[in-house]
Amino acid sequence: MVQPTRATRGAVVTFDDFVHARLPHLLRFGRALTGDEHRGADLVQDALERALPKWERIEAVDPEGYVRRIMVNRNISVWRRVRHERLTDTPVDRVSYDVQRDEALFAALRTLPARQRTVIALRYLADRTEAQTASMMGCSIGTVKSQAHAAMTTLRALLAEQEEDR
Amino acid sequence: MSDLETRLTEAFQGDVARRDVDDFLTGVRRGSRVRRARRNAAGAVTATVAAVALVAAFASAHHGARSAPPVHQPTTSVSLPPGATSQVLDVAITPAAVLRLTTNVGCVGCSTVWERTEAGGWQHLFDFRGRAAYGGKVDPLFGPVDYLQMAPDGRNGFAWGARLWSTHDGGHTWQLVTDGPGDRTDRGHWTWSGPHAAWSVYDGRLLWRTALGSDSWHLVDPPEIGTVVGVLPDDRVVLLTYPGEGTQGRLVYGSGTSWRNIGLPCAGGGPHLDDPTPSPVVHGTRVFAVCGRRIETTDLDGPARWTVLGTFTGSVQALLPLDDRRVLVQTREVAVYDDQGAHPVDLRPAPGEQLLRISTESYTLGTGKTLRESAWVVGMEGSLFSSADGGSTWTRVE
Repeated sequence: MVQPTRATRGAVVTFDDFVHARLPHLLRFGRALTGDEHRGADLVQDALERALPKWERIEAVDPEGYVRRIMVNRNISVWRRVRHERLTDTPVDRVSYDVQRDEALFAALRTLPARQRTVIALRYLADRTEAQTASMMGCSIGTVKSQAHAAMTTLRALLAEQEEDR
Repeated sequence: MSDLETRLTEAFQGDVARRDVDDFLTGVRRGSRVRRARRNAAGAVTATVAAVALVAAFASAHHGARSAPPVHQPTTSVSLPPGATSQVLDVAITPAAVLRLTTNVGCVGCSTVWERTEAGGWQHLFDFRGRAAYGGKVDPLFGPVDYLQMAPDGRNGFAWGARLWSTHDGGHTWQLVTDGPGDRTDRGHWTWSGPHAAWSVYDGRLLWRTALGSDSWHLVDPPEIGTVVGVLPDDRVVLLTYPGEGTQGRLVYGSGTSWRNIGLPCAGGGPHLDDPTPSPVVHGTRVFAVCGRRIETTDLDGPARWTVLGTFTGSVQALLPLDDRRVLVQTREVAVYDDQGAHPVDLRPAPGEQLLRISTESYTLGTGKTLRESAWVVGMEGSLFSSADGGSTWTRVE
């Protein structure tokens, strides 16, 4: 029996190639999930650390989907909520950006519960349908709708307050 | 689309701060290495709080019954296509057989058990099925199965990832023993077998014991949370425990009703929870542990007294006992350590072969098993090596 090898399976995406190609996209997704660039990067690193040992298995299928799912699960898990300190509105250490960020919006996002933030990230960054979002989060479409509604209501209120404070 | 929706989309799609991808990759590899070491060091990592809720529920469900009957489902096995084998995940050896556990190309969460034939090939025994494509959760019945362990009797054995499976016929059929908390392998089981009993740690917090041949597991109160690092010939379990999260570990062994603390050779206790140093390993009654830049060993068949087996430079990435006086160690190189010193071992690939790299940035040795002069090692990249002379010379096994 001839066992398939990398050579016989056709093109193979190495882990390094994948990270080089997709890191900015994953960082954006992490930022959207957490509302914070640093936390988002931590989330990406956490997911990639988990994906690396299984790369041979996931590479041939849908590596980015796999990594993104890990990010979603890790972000909304109890582990992340409790193990890490609560996010503050203003990160202690800032990085410099070449582009203007909507800091007010991200500050508002950080006040949302993780599940609501996840729904918003999947809907407005990953462009997932409600059904896809529900599938990815392991909940019903109704839950996605209610979480999205609550999140948008909170965001509108917070952003309106910020506008008034200016 | 409302103004807020447009604002969200634009904000999310905005640039992120530029990062050095190579630096990021270095961090990922380092973290993955630490994660693996911690996982080898057990579910100790799982002093995570998610575990608290899960474990509390699990424990409360089982503590009352004290010897709760496990979930037990009939096995359904469907053969994967011939040639689907990809990487070797683990190997198990008994006096009568060598088994390997492989993952399979194009099938997430699929694993297959094979038995070595006298002709030098592999006979297919059993498939743990996964899904043909990743688009959701791995098959909830099987989940990923990443580890394999056979009892010395050759009949009983265990395979686990998210869930724990058992066999009583040498690996031909497997039964689901205990249900896991989902498809997260980092919260699964870690199981070791002695001649007559097996021990399993669930999530770094719950310790179970069973008599071989039975699928009735009993919850045991360990002295502290920790992980199983070995089982002694008299079926007592050796645990690496952590009195509390963030504290130093110590070695404890016992029968489940009485425990003995033998500490660790390092002043202050030994490996820290976040320390990537491999956890101690057990062979017979002998324990080997990494302490600073020393390999130390002690015999549990008497008063514990640690002695230095050898010293090394760099950091130890993998540790595998070969017998009761020698241990295979990966630092920058791979070497066999005994009381005569370190003896380098050539596990480098043949020219042109890229499967087994010696590197400080990646583990070369994944896992391994030994029985008398026979030793089998799985490389981190899925290769398999064997030695018939106790680890002095190695041959790549196809």
